[in-house]
Amino acid sequence: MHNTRENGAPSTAAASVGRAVDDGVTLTQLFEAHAARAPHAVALCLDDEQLTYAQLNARANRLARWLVAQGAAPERLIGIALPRSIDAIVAVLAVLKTGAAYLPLDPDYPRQRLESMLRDAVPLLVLSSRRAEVEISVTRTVFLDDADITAAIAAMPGSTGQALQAVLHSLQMAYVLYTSGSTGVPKGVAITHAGVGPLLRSYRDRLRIDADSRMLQFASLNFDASFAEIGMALGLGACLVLAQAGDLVPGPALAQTCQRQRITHMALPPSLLATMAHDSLPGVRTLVVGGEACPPELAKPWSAGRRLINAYGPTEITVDALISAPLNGDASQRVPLGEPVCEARAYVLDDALKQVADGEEGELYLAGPGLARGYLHRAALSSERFVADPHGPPGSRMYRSGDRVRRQAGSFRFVGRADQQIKWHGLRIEPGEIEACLLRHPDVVQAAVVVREDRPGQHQLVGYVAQRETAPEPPGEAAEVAHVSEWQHLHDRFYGEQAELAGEEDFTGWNSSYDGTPIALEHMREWRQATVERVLAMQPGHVLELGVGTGLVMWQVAPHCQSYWGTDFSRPVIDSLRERVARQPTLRERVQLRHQPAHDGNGLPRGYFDTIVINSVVMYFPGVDYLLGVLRLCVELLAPGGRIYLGDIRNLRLLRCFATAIAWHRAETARHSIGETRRAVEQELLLENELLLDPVFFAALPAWIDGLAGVDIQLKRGRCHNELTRHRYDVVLHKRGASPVSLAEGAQLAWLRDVASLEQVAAHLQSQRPSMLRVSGIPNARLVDEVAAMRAVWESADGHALTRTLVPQVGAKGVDPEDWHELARCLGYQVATTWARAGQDDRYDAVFFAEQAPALTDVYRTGHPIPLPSGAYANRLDHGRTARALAAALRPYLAERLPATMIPSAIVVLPSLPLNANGKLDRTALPAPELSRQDSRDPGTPNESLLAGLFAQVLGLDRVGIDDSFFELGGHSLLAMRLVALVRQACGAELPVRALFETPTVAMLAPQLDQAPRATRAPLRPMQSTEQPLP
Amino acid sequence: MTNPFDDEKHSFFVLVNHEGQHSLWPQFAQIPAGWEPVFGPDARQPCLDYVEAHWQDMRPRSLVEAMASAAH
Repeated sequence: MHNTRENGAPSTAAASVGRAVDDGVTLTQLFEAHAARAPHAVALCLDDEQLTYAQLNARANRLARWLVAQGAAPERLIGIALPRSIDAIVAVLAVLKTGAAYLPLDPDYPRQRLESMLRDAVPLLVLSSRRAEVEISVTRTVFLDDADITAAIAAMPGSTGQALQAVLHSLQMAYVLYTSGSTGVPKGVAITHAGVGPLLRSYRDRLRIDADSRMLQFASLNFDASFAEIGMALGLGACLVLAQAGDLVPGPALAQTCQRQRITHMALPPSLLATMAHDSLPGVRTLVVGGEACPPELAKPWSAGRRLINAYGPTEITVDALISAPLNGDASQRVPLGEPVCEARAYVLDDALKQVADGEEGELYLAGPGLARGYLHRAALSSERFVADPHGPPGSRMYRSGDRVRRQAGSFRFVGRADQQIKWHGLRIEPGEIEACLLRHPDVVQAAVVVREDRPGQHQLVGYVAQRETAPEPPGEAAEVAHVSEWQHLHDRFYGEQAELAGEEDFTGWNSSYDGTPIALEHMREWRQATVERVLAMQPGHVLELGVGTGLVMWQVAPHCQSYWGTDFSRPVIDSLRERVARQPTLRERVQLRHQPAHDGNGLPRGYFDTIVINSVVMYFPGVDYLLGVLRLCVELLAPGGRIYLGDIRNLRLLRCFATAIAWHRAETARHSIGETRRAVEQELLLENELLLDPVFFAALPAWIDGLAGVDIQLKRGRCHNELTRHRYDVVLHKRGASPVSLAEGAQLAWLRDVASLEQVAAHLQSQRPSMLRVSGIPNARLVDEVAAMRAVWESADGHALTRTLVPQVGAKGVDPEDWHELARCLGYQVATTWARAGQDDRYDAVFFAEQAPALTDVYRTGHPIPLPSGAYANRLDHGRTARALAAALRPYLAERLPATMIPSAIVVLPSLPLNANGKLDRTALPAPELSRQDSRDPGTPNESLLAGLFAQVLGLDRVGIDDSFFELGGHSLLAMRLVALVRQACGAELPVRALFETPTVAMLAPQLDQAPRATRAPLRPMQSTEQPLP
Repeated sequence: MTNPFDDEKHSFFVLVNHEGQHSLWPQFAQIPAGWEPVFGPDARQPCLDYVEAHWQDMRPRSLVEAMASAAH
């Protein structure tokens, strides 16, 4: 058991009061003392390179003298933008020796962020190397690998002593670290020398560090854990072991590095330790976990046979404020944060700033010499976080940590955060900073960033944004052409690949929206059969099919016609069809195939066709106005009395029902809450990129198109229940010259009010023999389950888990539309089934009529006699287009402004962010990001296969398509490092991690594999010229 | 639960210690020894504005003095 008052009680004198520096208080003074005492002891190792204390001290002295000559002095800052290297450690020591403070600048940070830090901190100069490839324009940058700089530094004396300004005062700055700021601006924490001596004493005693210890330098200079690592090695006479970034990837690479370098002491964030095999660090005697809460399950295996220590401290209190006794691995208890380090104080305070009793929860406040001076140039922010300490010496300050804790048996246990701060792989992230960055994008109006765990153990940083409402896109031709060519591109690519296989029964690509699997063959056959029968019933003579595709309809219908013209906007499709038609003598003569889009009437005879087929194509049209243009062209091309058959129109009135059913299917496997499912539906609605139409649109068509004599809207035929029969319908438009029979007038029976069963209707028809009878408002058996699911999702209380049991089994209440057709056949009637009046969207009408009629109209009766503008009957396609474009644009936008660790792996665009009853963000209602894109292609080249396999391995997925984004599939910066390591192992290519952030798909990365530099690492790496010791 | 330093409902003082360091301080709590109120009581934002305007040199006073005497 460690005494919290080791090395003396907290001074009763004003502990935070500045004082002259005694011998051995600063890190460099301690280091110099070791260099004098044991000059030949090894201070620093990197691969097979070593420096003794004397050598390291001499190099640091030379650089320090050169820096002094440049103006380095107390209270000045020197930036360090160097990769992991001996030079970087020399630079840290040298800056401290001048009395100046160092400012670490990660060479991998985006330039904008580095420059905003530099503008805030105004360092004297930045030390960098050509190898680091840092572009900085706001501050003088010195490249240590430039020959003249190397020579100038080498000319300086290497001895310790005069001309170097020792640290005058313990409250001088030692280093400044920028941390994430909740208001969107990172803040520089100014750390002094005052806490360093006591902190190193605590490390020495509690971590058992001595001259034989070998400490791994794992943390980046940008995180204060690196100061601890440097300090506890070089300030305590031990050896500091550096490694290349690739050798520090948690997993086998890190384990090998530790064994090769005989590491005895190391510190890791728990989330990284969790990725290591339990027996992979046999030589490590003391293992420190910190940076985030350590789960008890981790403490058990890692505490066996070694000292496992938890360390805790915000950047604002010189690395660590609390250090635990060795953990015993009791998995039943929360891992203790620890006890205060030397001279530090920790209080648990209530809202009245009074200390709470042991065991009670409160906020943790920290005080002592390690306390930062404040945030650089941020007086107001400093005055609210570093506040007067009512429990310490007079005039002293304390820092409010934002962590809620309990004190038990002298140790502190973490309970939660008082604010939104996130610990992400040991890094401290203010979601507010990422949110603020998202909000600066002109198209974002709301933003939220959360950590999700949708698959057990797989944490993901996800950003949610609501898009600024844009004015409806004007029906500009450019946008429509762009939309058509977008589809054409997909279509060409898809059919280009399929052309060889295309046959008369090619249903490739007809996949279920519910689960992405191909729709069953018998369903597709029934669908085609119904379509073909419907067209043939019109007794077509001269047919034009717009969007002929692979000819699913043509092969069946053309043999019965005098001529059959087909157009398609995809050249590969037309070429492939032509080739196959040419082989069929019976078709060769009558089939004409043309490569042109639907709106293009060039080369098509006017007034010639009696039937125009547009089957399963309208949903790819870019909008209502485009559709109207195509229909006007069709009327021109038709002979009088001709008709347009529009097959597979997606029903706008059922879109929410359909989207809910899709989300429902997904929620079943993923255990989503109702709130999440609702948001998933909202997103589905927003991202819908196909054209859906309200049946009223077609009923109102005669108002917009001249020359129409009738409109016939019917449900799709088919016994199979699938998205085609549920959510699509067929429309026939008759050109003037036809005399369609109107089904508007006639007897009517309302479902439930007048009749409630098929039998009652049958009895009525048999007894009354009406010439026409409409049975209205029949519940659709195809839709009852989906409607029940929709009620469960949209009418249940929020916060419920979504389970199948919420859906009442009401299937028995619906009637299958096909039942009416069967009944009509038995009774010698004709019947048409159509949507019920608007407002009864899940119901339909069955209209019986006695006489066979060649053409029908007024089958569907609209509830809206006066048409609205045509755009009101379709979904807004530009929403989906802009939402996808926004999500895609935000990643590079963030990458230019934030460090890679702060970039969400997925960005979800929603119509608005969900709020709870108090008007605050309802985090439980945020939907999980969609994981795999269904249209992501399979790998084609060896490089793509290799990368897709490695993506899947790293992400723990079965399959990864080459268009899937690494980050949208759950990847994050740690996994990115692992992927890069695997790529190096697999093919020797050095892929920069940055490349993965810029081009996150297999398709985009694969070409870079061949251009990437080969990994140069032999088992023991030869020294690179840039890393040779400065003379 | 709102931390007393973040709670806009409170009135605050601005306190200063012997090092010239400034601290926001809720009016309800007793002023700790070694600190003097220099502004307030007032709402939170005016207090922060005062700090921003008056705590210009954020170096502790003892450090300023040490640097001044070293320069001579």
